[in-house]
Amino acid sequence: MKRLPGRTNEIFSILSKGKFISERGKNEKYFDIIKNNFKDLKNYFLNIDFMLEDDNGYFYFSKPNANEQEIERKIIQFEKFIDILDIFNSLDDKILIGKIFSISQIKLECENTARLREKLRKMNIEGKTNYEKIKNIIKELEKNNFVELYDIIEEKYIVLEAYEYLNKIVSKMFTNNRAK
Amino acid sequence: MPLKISIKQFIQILNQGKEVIDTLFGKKDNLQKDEIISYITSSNPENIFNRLLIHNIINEKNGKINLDDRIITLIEDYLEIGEINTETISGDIKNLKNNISYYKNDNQIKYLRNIKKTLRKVNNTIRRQIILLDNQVDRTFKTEQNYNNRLKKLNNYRKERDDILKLIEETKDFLEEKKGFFNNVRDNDIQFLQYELKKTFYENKEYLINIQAQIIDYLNRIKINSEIIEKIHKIKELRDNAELRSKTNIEIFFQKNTSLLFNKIESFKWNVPIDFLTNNDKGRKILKNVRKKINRKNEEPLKSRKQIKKKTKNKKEIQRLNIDKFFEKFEKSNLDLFNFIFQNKFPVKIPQEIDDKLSYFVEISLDFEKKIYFNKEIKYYFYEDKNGKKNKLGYAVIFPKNKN
Repeated sequence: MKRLPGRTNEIFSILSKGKFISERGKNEKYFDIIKNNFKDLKNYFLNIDFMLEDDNGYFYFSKPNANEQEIERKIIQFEKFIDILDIFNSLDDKILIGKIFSISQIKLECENTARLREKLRKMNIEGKTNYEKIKNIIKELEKNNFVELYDIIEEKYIVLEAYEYLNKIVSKMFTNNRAK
Repeated sequence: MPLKISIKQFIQILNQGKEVIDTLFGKKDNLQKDEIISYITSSNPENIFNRLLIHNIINEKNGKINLDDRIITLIEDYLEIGEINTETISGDIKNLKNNISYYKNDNQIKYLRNIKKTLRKVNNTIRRQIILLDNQVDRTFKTEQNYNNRLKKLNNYRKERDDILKLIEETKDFLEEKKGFFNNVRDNDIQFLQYELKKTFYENKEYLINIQAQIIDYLNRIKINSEIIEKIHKIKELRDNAELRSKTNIEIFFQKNTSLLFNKIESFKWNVPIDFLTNNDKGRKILKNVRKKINRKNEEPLKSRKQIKKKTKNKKEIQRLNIDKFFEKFEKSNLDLFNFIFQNKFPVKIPQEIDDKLSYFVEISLDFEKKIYFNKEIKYYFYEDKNGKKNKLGYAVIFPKNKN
């Protein structure tokens, strides 16, 4: 078997937690390693039952033999992202890949727009204040490497390529109004 | 009006004022006179400053100094930096046409020089404009934060790309129209410049097609994005109305989605290799620490009886009821299960609130289902809770089977 690139263990450690590796951000070095050794790594991970997936500027793991009975839990997992995407897509300044935003900026817009204020109030996320709620939303996205801390003092975050994955799920879902 | 000077003198002045020109060109902001003078390294900075001012290399307005526009244009043109104005190309072609006709009437070298200068300028402008456009398109899509501005800018670049194409066609037509002149003029430079210009058109034609494709791709991606925005609002609405499963394909979708993000993440459990603990320094260190911890627990200093008594008093130890033994006792009694539990005197350490007693009742009726029987009778138990509220509790009368 071909020699695997260095840091394969670190790459595995990130991806096996369900996290993403994007072209930009702190995991840029891992992105380059995967990109340059994609075929070897894909074959290697497949041996241990992990499918290395390549998308537009990001990599992630899927499990080819995943238990399909766990739909219930998956839907619940996804539902929390519906709320987040709904709020983010209702902002005037849309959250797009590469965008740098601050918690205070989102908080200000949410507090100044009645519609957004209401969405945030009804949202099932921990936090007593709007600031805490938004911070927890961002933490949720940060956990899976959809966004990354950009400026610690001003609490600014950058949107990574992997964020597109969430939008892709939405685009692949269809409602009864459309042709099935 | 600047004083009449020779080229040599002009270059000399530029050289003397190089620090000032460099600073003012870089900053482009108006600076104070004193600040400007501080940049001049020569022994007599005041003198040089005045020379630059007299010859209009720099201008002074309300105490602020700025670089003359002609110097800025000279540097930008030579270094091929700064803003480019494609609108001048039409003027340049007009200029070329005029100079060609002057030259035809009077073979003066100055007309030829003007033609060469303008051909070079047109070539540079087109080349630079295309590169700039490409950069702007890419930068706008990736960094423009405002959604509406992003859309507007990309649409404007689309028009700009069309304008460049028009200019190229206009210049091509001009070259074709003046074919006779370009073929007959005996000047290598002009022949070369004409060739360079045609080369630019040829090379950049594909580049412009790619830029157009890129703009369309970006615009499509924005369009898809706005469709997604619409969709997410719709999905959220369905979710809020609890219609997500009935009105979308979410269940089928997640049956197929095997991404680890939504799948249970396995935690990896592993055992410590024995070799590591015995033949490795790190392993031995860990083992030593573990031993220390175990010994520390065992070596807890002996306490006096008084201390132990005090401790037990402060900290009520809780014990779990041994259900098996308790059931054996129940089998020997003559009471039904409910009354047996409620009348039993439990040791202090055993939880014995009403809720605890009820959970014993349920636990026994489930665990010893085969050893008990219900006599289909419901009795009631009346009690007062902590707040003095009267409660009525219905219970099934249960006896052990061995009493049957």
